[in-house]
Amino acid sequence: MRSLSPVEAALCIAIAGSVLGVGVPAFFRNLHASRLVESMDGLERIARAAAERAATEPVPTAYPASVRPTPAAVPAGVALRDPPGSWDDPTWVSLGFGFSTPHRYSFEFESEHRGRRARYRASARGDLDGDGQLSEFSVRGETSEGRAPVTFPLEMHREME
Amino acid sequence: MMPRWLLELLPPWLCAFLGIGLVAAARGPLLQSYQQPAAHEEVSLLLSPEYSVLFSLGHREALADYLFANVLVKYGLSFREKARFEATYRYLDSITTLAPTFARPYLYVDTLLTMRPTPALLEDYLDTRRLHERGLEALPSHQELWLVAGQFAAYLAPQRVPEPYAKELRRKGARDLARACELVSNNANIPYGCIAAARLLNREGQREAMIRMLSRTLAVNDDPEIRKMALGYLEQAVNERERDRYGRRVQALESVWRQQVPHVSRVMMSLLGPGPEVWKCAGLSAALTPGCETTWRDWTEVKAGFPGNGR
Repeated sequence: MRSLSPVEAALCIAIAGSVLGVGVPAFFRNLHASRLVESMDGLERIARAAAERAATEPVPTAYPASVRPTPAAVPAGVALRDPPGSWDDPTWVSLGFGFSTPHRYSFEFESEHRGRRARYRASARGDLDGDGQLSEFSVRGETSEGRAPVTFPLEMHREME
Repeated sequence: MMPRWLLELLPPWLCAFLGIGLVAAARGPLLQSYQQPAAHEEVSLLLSPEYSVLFSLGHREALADYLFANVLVKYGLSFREKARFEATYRYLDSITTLAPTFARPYLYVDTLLTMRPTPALLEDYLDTRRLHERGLEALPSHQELWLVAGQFAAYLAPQRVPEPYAKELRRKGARDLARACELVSNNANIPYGCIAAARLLNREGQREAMIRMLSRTLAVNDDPEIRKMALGYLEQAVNERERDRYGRRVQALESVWRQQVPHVSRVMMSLLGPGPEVWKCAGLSAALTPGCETTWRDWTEVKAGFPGNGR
């Protein structure tokens, strides 16, 4: 088998380099994009459960108590498995929310009750590329006496990192 | 003549005000152009579901997996481009036609179709319901799917669709939540689903359906919280005579359970049936005597004297 001439070798390297130059960033861009669904699905799950709870409970207990971001630190560019008990907070339990597999977003639930109105805000923060810049999404909902609970459309505070 | 200190302060203050003015003037148009979709039109080369089945050459699950991965990527990219990914429903339609028992697409469908960078449309909510129904048909024992479909149809969708659709969705949502309540699960959110289902059915005037749902829930569920809730609602829903009859039936069933198979769950007991006393029931004539029933239907009608309870 004859070896490649310098011109042929240069041509091969140029083609392979071009393919890698275009393909590798696109691959990682798509990989990061596909992971966005974790945050959206998480927020949708929280919104569904919160609306259901608000429809069955009186206004003062319509939404479970606020809970700090879980996990406390946003995973930086990697999927992390939470330590046992991370999702055992009564709020997460009552919302039926949690992860048993490695995941990339940190979730927070804040609620308040004032007079005859209660509201909540659930947010998801992620750092898919691990550069310290966080993406953030949230959903809000509220309920008041005699009215069906309302869930507001998705809010994007920073969709790109 | 201006004082010297004022002259020294003037340039930085002027610069600051000028800067604020510039930022205020530029922010509006920049924000508008930033929020505008980067891509307006998208061409999808996806085949119709029927042709996708043909094109898969028998590798239906593999193609469904590939298409689902594609949907997740395109869904994420649509946020980057702030554009609506128009072909989402077509993809999900093909995926669920290719692999009807692939559960994940059904569980994600409301997120993929209604949690978008642009506001969801009426057809998105109706498409979501259509796919949920397809999933429930393909996976009738998938408790999480019944819960997801029920919560979506009962609470999230009705507030975003016109009233005739909303009413229908609420009705279907109540039915799905009732079914989710009957299926055994370790989801802590289920008790709320049960309460919600009972209330919705009651509100819709479906008293019989509510009683049936609560009775089934009591028959299969060991969770004390759910049982307490279901009994409470049942007591409110039925009249005194029915309540008395139901109380006697539950007591009789409980005593059989405690006496014969206290170590198994209610679900297992309902599968096993009543345990006849073999030495008394041997022979054709003895098999028809009370105490020799082998099904719960016979047991309720003959032994406990609760006609019609076997339904």
